[in-house]
Formats: sequence, C-alpha cells, structure tokens
Amino acid sequence: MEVRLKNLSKHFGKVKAVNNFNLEINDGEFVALLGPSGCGKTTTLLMIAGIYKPTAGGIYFGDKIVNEVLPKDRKIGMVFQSYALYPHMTVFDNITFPLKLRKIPKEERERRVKEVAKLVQIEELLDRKPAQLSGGQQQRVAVCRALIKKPDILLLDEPLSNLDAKLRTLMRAELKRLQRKLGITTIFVTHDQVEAMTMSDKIALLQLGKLQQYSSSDELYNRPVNLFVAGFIGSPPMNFIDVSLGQSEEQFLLKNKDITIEIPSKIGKFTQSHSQDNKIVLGIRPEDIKIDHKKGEEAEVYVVEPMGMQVLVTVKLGNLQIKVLTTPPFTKKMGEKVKLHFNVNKIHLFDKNTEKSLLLN
Amino acid sequence: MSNNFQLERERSSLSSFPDSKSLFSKLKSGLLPYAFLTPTLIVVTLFFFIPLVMVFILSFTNLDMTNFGILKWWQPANWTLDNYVKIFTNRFFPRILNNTLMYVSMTLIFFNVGMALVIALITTNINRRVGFTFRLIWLMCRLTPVVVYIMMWKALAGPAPMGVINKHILGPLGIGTGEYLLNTNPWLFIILVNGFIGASFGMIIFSSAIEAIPKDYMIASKVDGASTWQTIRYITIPMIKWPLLFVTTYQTLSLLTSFEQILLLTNGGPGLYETEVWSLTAYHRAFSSYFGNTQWGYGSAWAVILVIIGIIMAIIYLRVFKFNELIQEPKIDQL
Ligand SMILES: Nc1ncnc2c1ncn2[C@@H]1O[C@H](COP(=O)(O)OP(=O)(O)OP(=O)(O)O)[C@@H](O)[C@H]1O
Ligand SMILES: [Mg+2]
Repeated sequence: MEVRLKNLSKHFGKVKAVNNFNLEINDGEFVALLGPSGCGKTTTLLMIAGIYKPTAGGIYFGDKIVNEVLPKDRKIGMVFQSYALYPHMTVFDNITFPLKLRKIPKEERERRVKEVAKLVQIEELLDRKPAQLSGGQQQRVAVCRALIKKPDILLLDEPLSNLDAKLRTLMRAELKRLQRKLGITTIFVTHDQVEAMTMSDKIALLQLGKLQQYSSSDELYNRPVNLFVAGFIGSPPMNFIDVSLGQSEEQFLLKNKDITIEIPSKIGKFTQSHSQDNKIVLGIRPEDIKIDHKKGEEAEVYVVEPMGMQVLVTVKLGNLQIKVLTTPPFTKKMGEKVKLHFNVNKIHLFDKNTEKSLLLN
Repeated sequence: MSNNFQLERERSSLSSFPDSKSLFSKLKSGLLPYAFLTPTLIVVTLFFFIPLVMVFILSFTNLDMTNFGILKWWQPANWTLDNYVKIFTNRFFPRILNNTLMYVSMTLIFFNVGMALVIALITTNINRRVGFTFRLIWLMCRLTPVVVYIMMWKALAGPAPMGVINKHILGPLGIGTGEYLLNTNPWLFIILVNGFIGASFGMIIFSSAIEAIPKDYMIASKVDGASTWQTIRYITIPMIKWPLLFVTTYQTLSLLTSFEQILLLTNGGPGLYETEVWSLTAYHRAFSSYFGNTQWGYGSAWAVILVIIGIIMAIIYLRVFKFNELIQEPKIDQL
C-alpha cells in the first residue's frame, strides 16, 4: 500500500508538533522517520494510525484519503516503544486479540498464531504472561500482534530502543529480513541514525516538526541539503568551520585566520555564484581528513580516543577543534604536532545565513 | 555509591564488635521495630481488640440494664447459646435477613460498584476538565453532614406543596401529589440515599485507577480494532480488577455494618420491621429497646453474626475475583 502525507500538520495548542509534512512512500518500502527527541515522529505515526486527527492536510492510503477512517478500519499493525502488551493476557491472547475482536473463529486464530509465532521464533512462549518475558521476547510478541491481522501498513515506534546493544543489532537485521520477506509497507520511527541507515530504503529526517530531507541513507550522508542534516547524520559528527572564499589568480581558497584550503576551481566557481555575502560554513567529515601527511595544515594533538577499529583524534588548529578519524596505530601523544590534509573532493559548503547547501543546485 | 560504601562499613564494624556488645546491639536492633509499633499496638489492643473479645463474650450472656453490675458476665458459668437460639427462632429473622441482603446487594450493584464504575468510565472518556467537575459534584453528598443530608431527603420526599418530588415530578406526570414517599417506597429511598453517597467512593478509586492505565494500552487496543466498548471490556476492566475487588469487598462490609442513614430515614419502618436491617437490629437490641431495657448481650450476638457474615463474604470475593491470579510472585527474592 502506498502512503502519502500531504501538507500534514498537527498542533497541540501552540506547539506545532508536525508542520506541513509531505511524504510519499511506495508500496513495500521501508521508510524511517528519523529525528531528535520531540521532533514529531510519534505524532506523525499516531496520525497515520488514526489515533490523532490531523490539524490540517491529508493522509492517503493509495488514492484514498483516510483522515476520517477509524483506526480499526485502516488495516494497520503497530509496534509501540513500550510494546504495550496487555499484562493480563497470555502471549497467545495478546497476539490473537485483533482476531478475537474481528470474531474470527478459534481454530483459525490458533492456526494464524502458529504462523506468525514461527516467523519470529516464539512458539514456545505462547502460554506465558508478558511479565514473564525478556525485553527481546516482548518485542517479538509485539511484532506478532502487529502482523497477525495481515496489515497493509506496519508502523514501528522505536521498537528497538528498549533492547541492549547486542540484541538491538540482532533484531535490526531480523526486522529488516522480515519486512523484505513480507513486503509490507513499513514506517519505522527512530532517533538512532544507525538504525535508520541500516534498515530503511529511505529516511525522512525531521526537525521541530518539519521535514529536512527525504532520501536514501547514501544521499543523506553524502549530499546533506542543510547544516542540520549534515550535523545530525554521521558519528562522530561532521566538523564545521566558518570560512570565506577568496580567489587568487586561478586558485580558489577557503580561508579564515587559522586555515587556508585550496579547493577545485569547479567547486569554487559554483560556490562563488551561489553565496550571497561570502559567509560560508565548511563541513568536512572526520574520515575525510588525513593526519600526519607530509604537507598540510599544522595542528596540535588535543585528545586521542581509540575506538578499536579506528582512532578518533581531536586536534587544535589555532582556535579550532577538529575531529579526525584515522586508523590505528596512532602513536602521536597529546601536545605533539601533526599535519592535516583535507580531502577537498569530499567537502560540504553551506551558506551561513540560510544554512542551505551551496553545492546542491 | 559512597553512601552505600559507608553503610557497608558501618555494618561490618558493628558486627565485628566484641561479644557482649554485639549481643546487646543484636537485641537492640531486634527490638527496635517492635518499639516503633508499641503505641499502635496499645491503641489497637485497648480500643479494638479488647472490645471485640468483650462483644464476643457478651454475646453468650444475657447482660442487660436490669442485671448490670450483678451479672458476672466474664465467668464461663454464665455463658449460654440462648441469644443465638433466640435470633434464629425470632419470627422476624427471615424478614431482617432478607432486608439486609436486598439492601446490601441492591446498593452495591446499582450504586457503590455499578454506578461508580459507569461514572468513572464516562468521566475518564470525556474532556478531562468536564469529567473532573462532574466527579466533584458527585462528591457533594459525601461532604454534606449525614443528618442534614437525610433531612433534605425527607423534605424532598414530603407531600406537595412542600415535597419537591411530589410537586414538580409526580404531580405534572399525574401520578399523585399527596403521599409521603418514604411511607410508600421506603426501600427505593434507602437505596438511593445510601447509593448516592456510596457511589462517590468507588468513583474516585475507579477513575484514578483508569487514568493510571498507560495510554499506550488504549491506543494499542484501538489499533488492534477494538471499539470503545470492547476496549472497556477487554482492557480497562481487567486492568482495574484490583480496585474492583477492593471496592466491592470494602463496600459490602461497610454496607453490612452501616445503619445510620436508615436509622435517620425510616428507623426500620414504616411497617413493622419493614426496613429493619441486621446492623440496625443489633443497634436497636443493644441500645434502644422498646421497653427501655437495653439488651447488651442479645445485641452483641446479632453483631457477632454480622462480623462472621462479613468475613465469609470477603473470602467469597477473593475467590470470585481470582485473587491468586492478581498477585504476582515478587520479583525481589526475600533475603
Ligand atoms: N498529546 C500532546 N499534547 C501536547 N503536546 C504534545 C502531545 N503529544 C506530543 N506533544 C508535543 O509535540 C512534540 C512532538 O512530540 P512527539 O511525541 O511526536 O515527539 P517524538 O519525535 O516522537 O519524540 P521522541 O523521540 O522523544 O519520542 C513535542 O514537543 C511534544 O511535547
Ligand atoms: Mg516518540
């Protein structure tokens, strides 16, 4: 089922929880709603589920507008962050609750429970009460309850955030496999970018109720449309440096009082024609800076944080602190001098005032 | 962290004291909880436990106003089962029993639990502020002093033109205006009068229990396809089973033992024993016998049976509500 949100808004009094949200989700797609806490993800999901009524705008399933359709008629399955398993019912009763409400006969209920329980391997837990399950098991039960009515759309509200790191990685992969296998259009809410990037076909990045960018994770990572997206995606986050663009002969130079970086003339010309008052923010990811090169900007090692596969080095360049990801072994100590080399093909440039990217159109 | 550590240290230093001292401190720490309980224990023993035992003993004697000070009621030689025989052979016994059962069950079903639940469900499903105001209004009956409250009901029930019900409701409907309604429909009024007060208790307990149910359950049940009624039946009610059990038990016991409203409203009348309930009988026998001789022993026997009935009822409720299923094994092991 395709899902479209058209100019969708939800206000709680003065709070604009969701503000003019447009989104198109194709049949069978796995879309993540990503954003910091309080940006309106849950509100959006509850509007799609029919619990909240939109203040303005429309929700379309296929070609049909569903604003006025009751939750029970929307063919939606939902998994809650708290799982919301009914504590007084057994796992079996929890999972079959949607079928019981639909007066589906007992034999069929039993058959379908077996089907979905097998999908997530909880067949032997059916007689227990939710309180007797681990977090991971509860999560699987919640998924079963959402799937048993064969929904057209699956809504997941931070279903992994209550699990420990190891289980989360495991369930991430399992949920993704399950979604691919069943081909159900899925909307997945999360504030964890790794979850969003690893699982989904497309990510809608929200801030303060507004959509910032809607694209594949690749695109989000490599072509962020504004400063917020650039800063939110990527861990450790992108370095931002205030600079201005200068030109000497055929050279284009990004400069402030601490650094000077030469950039390709193609990027330079493009930026020059787009920037209004030459106040530019240079963005560069920690992994796009090389350390200890023969030539480059001289900097001083400030902190070294080994992370196993990589080493995160914070260096001071004048007054700037810059984070650099490098591969071990890294032998320099605090206070020692290193040279930085910026990979100019991977830089991002933003207008300081509008915060929009200067490199994309 | 540091606090814990300190505590740990204090504990270990305590136990490593030389023998005599550790024995003393052990004794001290063993007795300390009881020391805190002592005032309560004294009060409970003096004003609750001893009277209870006395009532129980008195129920086997024929202590009354005429032999007060003469009868040695504490001597087993003076104990007989006569009072109990008298109760069960009393020709009004079936009537009183029947009255009591009707009074308790009707008030309980229609008001103290039934109406309370309905109001709680309605007021928690509408706008919060409206619901809150409505519940506040319901509390008024409880807040009014009982004597004033009953006098108001008596005035309401009076004949026209003074009686509001007669003049403004029954009159316009053409049913009649001249009757004192407490004489024609005493039970209706007794149940209404008690129920209006009684319902507010359950209403408060139920509505706070309902509001404490996490919203996610309600949303989940809606997404699962439940109508409002189905959500109430399958989610809300099972989740407030505890308060339901509590209110039912508590209100049964308090209805069984409450008689002050009936005393003030009809005093057991208008006909002979027409609205006399068990607790009112106990009161009448013990403190206001028609002949002026208050039969303390006989009244106690009525009271003792009432207590036994109450205990039996409570046990039945625990069974009906499957009390065992309500309590979970504690997650923390007892150390
Ligand atoms: N029922 C409500 N009444 C008033 N304000 C609300 C209500 N629900 C949400 N809000 C507000 O709307 C905004 C968005 O809330 P929402 O729950 O959608 O955030 P979220 O993106 O899901 O955040 P989180 O990641 O913390 O779950 C917040 O500012 C929140 O305070
Ligand atoms: Mg949320």
